[in-house]
Amino acid sequence: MVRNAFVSGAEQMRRNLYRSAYSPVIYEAKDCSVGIFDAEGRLLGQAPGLPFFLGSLGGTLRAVIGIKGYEVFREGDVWIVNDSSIAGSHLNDVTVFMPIFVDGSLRGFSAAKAHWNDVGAKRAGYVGDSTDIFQEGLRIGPTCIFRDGRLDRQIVDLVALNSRFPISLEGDLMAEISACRTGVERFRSIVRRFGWDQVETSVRLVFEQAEVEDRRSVAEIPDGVYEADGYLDDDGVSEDPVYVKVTVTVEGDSMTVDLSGSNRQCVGSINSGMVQTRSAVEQGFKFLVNPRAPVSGGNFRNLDVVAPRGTCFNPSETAPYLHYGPHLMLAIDLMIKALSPVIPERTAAGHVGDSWNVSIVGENDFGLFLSGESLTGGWGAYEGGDGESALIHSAAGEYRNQPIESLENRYPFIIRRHALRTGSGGDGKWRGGLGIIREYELLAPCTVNLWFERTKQPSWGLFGGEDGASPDVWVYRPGQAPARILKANGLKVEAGTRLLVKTGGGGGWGDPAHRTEAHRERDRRLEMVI
Amino acid sequence: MGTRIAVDIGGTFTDLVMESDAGTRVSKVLSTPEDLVEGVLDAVKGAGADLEDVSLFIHGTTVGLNTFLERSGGKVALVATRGHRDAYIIGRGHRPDMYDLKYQKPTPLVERDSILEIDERISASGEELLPLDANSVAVAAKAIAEAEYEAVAVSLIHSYVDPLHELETRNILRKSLPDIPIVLSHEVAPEWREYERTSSTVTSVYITPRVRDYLSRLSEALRDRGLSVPLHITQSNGGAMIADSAADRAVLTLYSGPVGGVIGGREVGRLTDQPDLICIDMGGTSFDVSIVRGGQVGMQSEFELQGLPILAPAVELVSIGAGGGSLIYERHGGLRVGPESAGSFPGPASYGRGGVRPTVSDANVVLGRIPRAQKLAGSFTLDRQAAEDALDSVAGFFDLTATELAEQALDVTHFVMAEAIRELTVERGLHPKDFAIVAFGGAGPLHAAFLAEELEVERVLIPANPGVFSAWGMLQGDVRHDAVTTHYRRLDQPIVDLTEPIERLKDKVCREMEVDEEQRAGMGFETHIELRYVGQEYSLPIPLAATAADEEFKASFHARYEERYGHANPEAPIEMVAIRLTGIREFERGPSGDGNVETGGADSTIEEVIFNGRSMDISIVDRGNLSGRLAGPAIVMEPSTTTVVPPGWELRVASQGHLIMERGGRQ
Repeated sequence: MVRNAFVSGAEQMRRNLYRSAYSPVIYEAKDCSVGIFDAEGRLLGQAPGLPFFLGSLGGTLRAVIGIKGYEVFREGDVWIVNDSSIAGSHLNDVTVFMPIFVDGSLRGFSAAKAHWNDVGAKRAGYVGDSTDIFQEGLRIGPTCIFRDGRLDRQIVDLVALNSRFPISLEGDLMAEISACRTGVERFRSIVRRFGWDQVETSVRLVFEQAEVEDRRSVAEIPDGVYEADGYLDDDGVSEDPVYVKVTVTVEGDSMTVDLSGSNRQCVGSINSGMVQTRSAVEQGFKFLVNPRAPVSGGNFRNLDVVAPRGTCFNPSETAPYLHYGPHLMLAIDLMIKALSPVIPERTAAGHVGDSWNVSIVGENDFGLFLSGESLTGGWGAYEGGDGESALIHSAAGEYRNQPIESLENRYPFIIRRHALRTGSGGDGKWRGGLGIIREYELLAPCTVNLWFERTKQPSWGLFGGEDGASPDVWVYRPGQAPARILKANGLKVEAGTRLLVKTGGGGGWGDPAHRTEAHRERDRRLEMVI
Repeated sequence: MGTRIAVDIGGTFTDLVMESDAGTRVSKVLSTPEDLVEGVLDAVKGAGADLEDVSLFIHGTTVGLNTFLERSGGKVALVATRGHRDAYIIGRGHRPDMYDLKYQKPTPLVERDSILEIDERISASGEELLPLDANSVAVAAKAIAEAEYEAVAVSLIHSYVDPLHELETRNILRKSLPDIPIVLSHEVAPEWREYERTSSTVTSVYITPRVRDYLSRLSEALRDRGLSVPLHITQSNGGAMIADSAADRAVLTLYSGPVGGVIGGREVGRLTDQPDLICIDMGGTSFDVSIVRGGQVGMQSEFELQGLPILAPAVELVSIGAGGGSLIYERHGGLRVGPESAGSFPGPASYGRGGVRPTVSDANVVLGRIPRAQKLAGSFTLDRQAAEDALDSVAGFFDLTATELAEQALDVTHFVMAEAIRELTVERGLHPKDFAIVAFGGAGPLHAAFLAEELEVERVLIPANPGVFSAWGMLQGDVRHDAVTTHYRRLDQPIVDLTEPIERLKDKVCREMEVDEEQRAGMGFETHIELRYVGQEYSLPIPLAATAADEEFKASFHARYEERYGHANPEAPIEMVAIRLTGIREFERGPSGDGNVETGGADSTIEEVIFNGRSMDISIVDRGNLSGRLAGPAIVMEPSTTTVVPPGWELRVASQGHLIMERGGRQ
């Protein structure tokens, strides 16, 4: 009952955040996470919008406690922090948290993290070519913005002044505070209902139980050292590929994921701090170990993550962090690939490997607008099923694509086509899912930012299955030859420009010769293949 | 006033309530799943109703919902704008099971090869970017005719702004397809968001053939037996519409079945001066919650069924798998209850039909809260020993006795139920303690007081005839049609007169309700404006006062927003996204229950019942013998349910046979 109470408390926080947030990136893309924690920052109940943020709130809280200690917290406080060197993700992800006091003692924290549209990076929209953190926006260390029930206007004004969208920034901040308050109220009512001693005992039992389940599941994986490696096209600034190496060691009921040997800290912004790196590896672990069980502070105790300082998984404090995700998504995929030979029943072929961003900036009647989208693609096939088509990437979960009718109402463009990309799934006994095609026609001059990764090493097939198709993007400007552009930063284009975007398909599973005729016939009937 | 009849079909029983000058009569017969019409006719016969005297016949149907859930609908073709045929297949691309590598989307109701594209395009502002190509429609019509589809959905981009292309498309299709339903998306859900609108339309078309068939057979059968007024159907929004119009708008009947209860709850609340109510309906497998606030039923404008979105007004209902049949078991060292259920067969162990796993009903039986004399479902006697044995099989894991386990399992159940209620209250800035609970269904009154304690609620209402309450509720409703139009405008733009779009909505509603000018004058209209801060996605419906001044909108929007989310931003610009209008025509009302409750007529007895680990000898009173006040602990029995009055609670008979139970026995 206690565990369910904390989990449903977190669900209430999340729904509150979605409904009152300003930015589509929160209420549609669900680029956020909320949770309730004990006084040591251990998870009691959470509702991540992004699975990628599985462990990031707890990690951030523990990092802040490490820096500030416990004495600074007072009843009624609200704190914010976004610095990448603490939270591990980009500066747009702002964590808001409140300490929870019961009868005068600090008993826990309520926390929310959400992506704000603009925190004052060097350009509007998604900046793909930053080379240090100062180009990416305002760094906020752990800062108390509410004390004794009063908002410190000066700090909020300071933060808002540094944004191109101050109104939505303040709206999103208030939505996060409101979600945290819900968490505080639920925490208190749970303690009132059960008494603190009972809550403490129950939490200990819940943690123990989660740990036992994790250990039992890992113990079923044969002992051994399993490796896989891969690379990203480039880091957005230099042309060199970004190399990722994953070594998974299973020993008894414990697992170590070692990222040693991976790329040095990137010149471009493919870098993540340790809190976010660990959070992503926990997600990879979760894909393979008890994926349906609720998560608590008792999980991941048998998971060790090694990421040497100076690599893109643990860079310097002032490294650029804006694209903190692509190499982590690749690492998750590589964990799954590495373990596929020994636990094929838990794994799948390569899936959507990148966030595939299209962001369009321009001006309409009301000033500056920013349309930011992450496009869906094909997921990997697995023994027993074809991969699903047109799904969001692994780092996101509750993300929803933007309806065309809503985009066209808000922004000066028309979507001529939004369709499955026939033939893009990797062939195999089980076929990879399909990517999509999206065709934009811009009705006004705009600035376009594009980020499309994993074209050189697309979603891989496994056990003889074929790779999925690579993503592909073409820009048709009036009077100019079509140009294939996968990454663009602040590309200024004229009215009448068209963007033809094709996202990648998922990898196939097993020898294509073993695909049944019934499945092939169905593929042809539904035009899933060319 | 003539006789008024309502019939509600449930999984096991078909319930009928008949009100006339002679009083209220009820009948309960077994449902007939192979042909539901039979069950309705049996119920009519059971009540001895003379259909020739009937002035209102209203019915809640589950045919639409069951057709959807069983996937037994028609073979449907979908016509879409070229370039966008996959909108329905792609959906929104999210992964709700976010740690599942093998996640699959909900199965769509039409496959990709049943979606045909035509050449046309309207812009977001209603401009014709590409005229409708009649030839491309003719090609689609030919393909649909050849493949023998049973129904067609048409959903074109931005049709909610300008429906012309959809209307023309139907005209052209009609030439080759004279006999099958052709349903247009702007008629089903004239709102933006192409996937949601298309899904609503496809769902409606998909269930249409079976809903039509059922309603026409039922109407005919009732007419043959003398019914001279049109059959009315309850809609998901709690109002009624005539069956003919339900056949064309099948999607509006999806929650036709369960909404009777909340409408009844509102009426009981009105009679007892309780404008704020939590309505709980607990039966064998599920627990449904809905809210009445300020005398208004809580509504939602969209919902999901098995992951597929439906844009249609519906009573907001949270349903969880907690009922009398919910199983009690151990998993990973913890005590769990439900959502799995023992079902109607074998059912709880105490039913003595071979069930060996303990259920919530069994827990109530061993605690003595369902008295020995109670006959469940009106027929068989309870086997208390079997219930105890079943509980013992789980109690061993926790080193507990059967009765200790029973109390703990009920604690868990009440907690889970309370969470469902918090979802509709606490999350919106409302406090359950400001509400009264209305409890009905076979198991609602058994648990209501305990649930009230969990939520700090002080007052519980047990309506007359709680076992057929949904049917009774249908008689307390009105005829109601909703219409919506997307109307996008920033409030910092010059004011636009809303009179014209609102008049158009009124015309539309009146057309659909088939009312004449005279009837229109007697109707009520409720108008809401959907507002949000610029850039937000979720909007809040704000009631439109007589004068539609922007400043008033703004003020009431900020206030509602503050209440809901605990913060507001008076500086931020606001935008209007839609206008919603409801036309309401009241039914002739009956006496709202006349205290003529069903009764077993048994004498009071004393039995041993356990509360908080203590065994007490308490009175078991037949509801028909109640008068004045009854202090807890006590139990009230009637054929369809059992009401538990725990220690510290007091019960009294209120007007028209409804019961009020209060904590501390306050006035």
